[in-house]
Amino acid sequence: MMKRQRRIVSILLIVVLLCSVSGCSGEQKPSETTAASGTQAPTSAAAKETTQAEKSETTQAGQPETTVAEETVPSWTADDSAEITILVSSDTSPDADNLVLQELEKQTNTKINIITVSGSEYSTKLNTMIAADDVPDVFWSSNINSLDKYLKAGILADMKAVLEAKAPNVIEETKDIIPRIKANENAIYLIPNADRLYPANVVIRTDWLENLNLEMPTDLDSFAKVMHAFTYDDPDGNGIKDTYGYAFEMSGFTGSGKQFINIFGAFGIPKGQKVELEDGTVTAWFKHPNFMKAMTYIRGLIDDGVVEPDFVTIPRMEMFGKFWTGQAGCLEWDATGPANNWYPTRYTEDPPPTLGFATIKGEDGTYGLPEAVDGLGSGWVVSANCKNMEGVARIANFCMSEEGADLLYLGVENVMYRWIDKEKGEVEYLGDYVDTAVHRAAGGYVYSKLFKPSSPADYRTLMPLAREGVQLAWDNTVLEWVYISQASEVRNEYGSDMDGIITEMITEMLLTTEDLQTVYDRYIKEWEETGGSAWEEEMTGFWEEERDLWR
Amino acid sequence: MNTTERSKWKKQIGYFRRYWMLYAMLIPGIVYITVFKYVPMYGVSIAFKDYNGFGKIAEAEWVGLKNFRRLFETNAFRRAFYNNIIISLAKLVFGFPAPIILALMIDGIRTKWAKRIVQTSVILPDFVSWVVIYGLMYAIFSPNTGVIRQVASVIGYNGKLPNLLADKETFRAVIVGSHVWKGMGIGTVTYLAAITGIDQQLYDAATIDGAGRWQKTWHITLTGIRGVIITLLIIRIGHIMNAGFSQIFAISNSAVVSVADIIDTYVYRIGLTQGRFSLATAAGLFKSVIGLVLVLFTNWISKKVDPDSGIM
Amino acid sequence: MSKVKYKKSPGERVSELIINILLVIIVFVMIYPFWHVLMYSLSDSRAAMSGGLFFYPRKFTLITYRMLIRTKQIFIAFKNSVLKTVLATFFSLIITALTAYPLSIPGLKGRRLVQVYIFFTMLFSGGIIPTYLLIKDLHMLDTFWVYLIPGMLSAHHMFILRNFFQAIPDSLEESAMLDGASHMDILLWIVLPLSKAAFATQTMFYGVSNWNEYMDGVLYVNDQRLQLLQVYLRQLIYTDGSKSVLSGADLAASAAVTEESMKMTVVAITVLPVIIVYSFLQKYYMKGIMIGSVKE
Repeated sequence: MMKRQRRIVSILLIVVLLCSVSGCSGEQKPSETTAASGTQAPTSAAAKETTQAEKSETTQAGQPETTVAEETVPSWTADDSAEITILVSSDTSPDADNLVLQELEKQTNTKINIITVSGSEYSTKLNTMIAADDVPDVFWSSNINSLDKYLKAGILADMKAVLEAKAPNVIEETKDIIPRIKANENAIYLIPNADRLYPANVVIRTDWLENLNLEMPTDLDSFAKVMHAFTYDDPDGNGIKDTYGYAFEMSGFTGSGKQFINIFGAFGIPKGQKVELEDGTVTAWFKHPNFMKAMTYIRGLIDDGVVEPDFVTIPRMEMFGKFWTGQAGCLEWDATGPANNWYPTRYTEDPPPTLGFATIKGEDGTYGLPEAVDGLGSGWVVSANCKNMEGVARIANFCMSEEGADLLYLGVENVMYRWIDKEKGEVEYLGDYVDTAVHRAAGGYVYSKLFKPSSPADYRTLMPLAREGVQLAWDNTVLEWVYISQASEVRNEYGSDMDGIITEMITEMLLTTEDLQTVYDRYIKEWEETGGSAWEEEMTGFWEEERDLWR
Repeated sequence: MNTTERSKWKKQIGYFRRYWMLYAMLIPGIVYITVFKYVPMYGVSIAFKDYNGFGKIAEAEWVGLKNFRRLFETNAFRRAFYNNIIISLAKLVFGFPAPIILALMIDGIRTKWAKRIVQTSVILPDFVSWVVIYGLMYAIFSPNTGVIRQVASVIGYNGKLPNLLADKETFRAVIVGSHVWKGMGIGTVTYLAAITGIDQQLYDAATIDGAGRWQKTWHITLTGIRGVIITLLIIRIGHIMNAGFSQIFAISNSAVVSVADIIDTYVYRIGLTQGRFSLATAAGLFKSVIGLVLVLFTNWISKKVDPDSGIM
Repeated sequence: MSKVKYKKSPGERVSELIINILLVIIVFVMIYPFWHVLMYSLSDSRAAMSGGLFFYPRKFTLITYRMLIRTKQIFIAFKNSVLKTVLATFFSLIITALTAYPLSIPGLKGRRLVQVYIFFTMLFSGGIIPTYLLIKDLHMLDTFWVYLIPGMLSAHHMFILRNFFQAIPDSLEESAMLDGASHMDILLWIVLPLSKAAFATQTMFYGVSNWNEYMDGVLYVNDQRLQLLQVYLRQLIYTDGSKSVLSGADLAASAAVTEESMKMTVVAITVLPVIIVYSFLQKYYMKGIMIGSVKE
């Protein structure tokens, strides 16, 4: 008896496992019900009902036009029952059906499903979805080469017609940026964010300057002197040598990172960008004739011991920590960090430090920064399979309005926040929304990168000092550099190898005991052989074509 | 003739009667492996194709060995390949015996609560991610603010300290050391579980014969877990080319990249994130083939030594 | 816990002392990192900024923990993760044992072939895209099944379990067969009770990997209601410095909690449940009791 029972039990177990393994047939049902919110468009009656209800609730100006558009202009899709999936990179995942998202749907009369992925997994997720033909309706193209690939594969929609008809804000806000991208010739495939990014300031502790009776540095010499005094003359007056002048970390130095960008500027070098040499060759910033001089200057600061010495190994947050805890007196970062986001809660000293911004000039009065750009070819793109392009246009249009920008950044007005003084940008969060976590769970801040207008809420709510810093940095973006908006074949193939060589070169130049020029020549030779020369040729050719696009 | 055939047939029936249930038990596992491991295996073909992540894999163009040639073309990959071998070998040599030794040490503990504490503690580092571990390594090894600086000051040394994390001479030792430390727990626990399976009577008998602790450890414990050791060794060797992506990605920096860059970090850099699936797959396949060759070799050796062991 | 006592020689005493000292050092070195994380997470963010080692919390506070539990989503994610871990581990143990046991029987024909068939998949895999397409074709995207089925059997764990089974004396099984027991009976009533330590190990292996796995959650699931705790938490701590709160102006980021404190808290609340479960599994590691008990 017992034995038979056991046998039956065991056979049952096997059967159960078999069923679960072979999967499909048994699981079709649950998947169909739950997958609706994912990749497939919901066609259930309930979904339609809610859309209908929302339609009648809102008195959108664009709504009556929708039907007209469907009849007369068949060049874009406008299925309002289809859900628009948007892939957003974010460092928090808000609640599934949050206030901000509801409000956005209501305002734009669309069904939206925003998928948030952390920045480190964004490209993996996106690439997989694309490869499986599950392209999200709206996603972020991060650089010119990806954009080029999407275009060649034909997965992007040309939004020109629908944007011109339905999204006046987008057309107006991006009118200067859109034509700068070659891919957008007679079309709009890429919708860049319209906000002007914040370039890096030289942020200096003015309380330390006062303690030491020093002036704000204005040129390379006085900068080096101030850094020296910050390190050796006890600027915090505690009698211990526990301070440094300048703090930076390596990953912020190599590539287009912000650190030392103003110093390179004083040598006329647009750090991280392309330059045109006197003979007309277009090449990278590290082949600028003054590069060696600039590196020698920086190396001089390091050898003088005025730079926080762990720069190779220090994690970024720890590097900021040096500034927060009063161990470093100068940092190159955009003003919004030191003077807004961190002020005053992150600073451990009492009273918190006072900050100022310096403009450093070179020998012949050269100074400046290259314009900060979020990677050329970066912006929002729309899938060619999108079922509701008109809905996307409405979303883009709303997000690029002041009202939309406020919603995505600050949340729902008078529920989540309230303006104290809109002119000055003073804002107060209400009730539980004072708490960052609650605010973000309700959808505040997390989507704020979506179709950003030229005057986004984050800029309008900056503290006065930060605003001053940002303005100064903008005024200083006077360095000319070469703007090329075409994908490079060479970079596509060898770009990371080339970058790797330069990263190693710069690190070695900061640490080596060898002659700097020898090191430089060795690495540049390798860079040229790895594709650098071919790339220069390619870029020079592109520049011939694009020179006028830029002007 | 007839009788032998019949007896053969009978034997077969007898065999099947005796073993049919074992075959039945294997079915779920085999179905699983087939569906979830072998069905997607066609993806390996990407290594020989020009596939950039758009469209169907089957429709991508065959390019032969182009992707492999592309990899070996650059100095950086050749360097990564060399580093990969050095680092994996060092990890194997130092990392493989460590958990065995630790398990034997823990097995020797006679106090129950102490044993529990040790057993639990060895596994802890495995739960903490490399990113966090790196923060900790920095806090300890920073020559300016780290613990080693404080210790040096206490003993009266205020001169320059080496920066272990940014020195080409020492960085591989850091990689291997931290790997052994973090990865030891999982192996230790496996061996400890294997030790519990050893027949206690063997120890009692040996004690009566006057065997000391070391003799028992050597002849009974080690012999008892030999099978597990060989299995783990073969598996480890199959993965020998995986030199620890997440570790090196988290703890290396541009000053030591020339000694720490491995195949996986190289491939990650040149564009797994940009959808260059062909190159990544080619590199993966290359690593797997090396692993396979080494496994066949190890398996062959281990069977020479002990015919019962080995995976294949 | 040997029943037969004997006298230790002085040499053995010394070596035991050395081993004990070594073990104390090892325990410290092994426990410290997690202790550091825990203490950091309990410290005031600003006090923690000065770095160094943490042996006790600096200005004790629970603010980061309170911030984490203020959202609804974390509870949804936590529930999903617990459910996933328990169910997936259960399924995995069954299928692993069912596969490992036959492969541990020396007389089984075709055994080596099956082993090679399985081992091969440890070395070669089809990669992300074909797997994603398969899961899509099986209609498992955005379902809970995707947490349970695709990672059900680990070849690595299966081979280890097979080794444990092999170590069980054949004589036990032989005698059971003579008593008329089937192979399933032997597995359930003889082999399993003898392999408690092995199963504790397997439970831990599968449990930990199920608990920590996040890539499945990122790739295969878009539905927030199915989000896993690891996916939720990872977003919090893997902020890309250049794009996050650090550079764009963000009022909310000015809160007194640093990214580092948040990261430590996230690690602490991820690891604590594992440690608790693991210390419960410990009791199956006590040796020397099982073989005897079955024989009697």
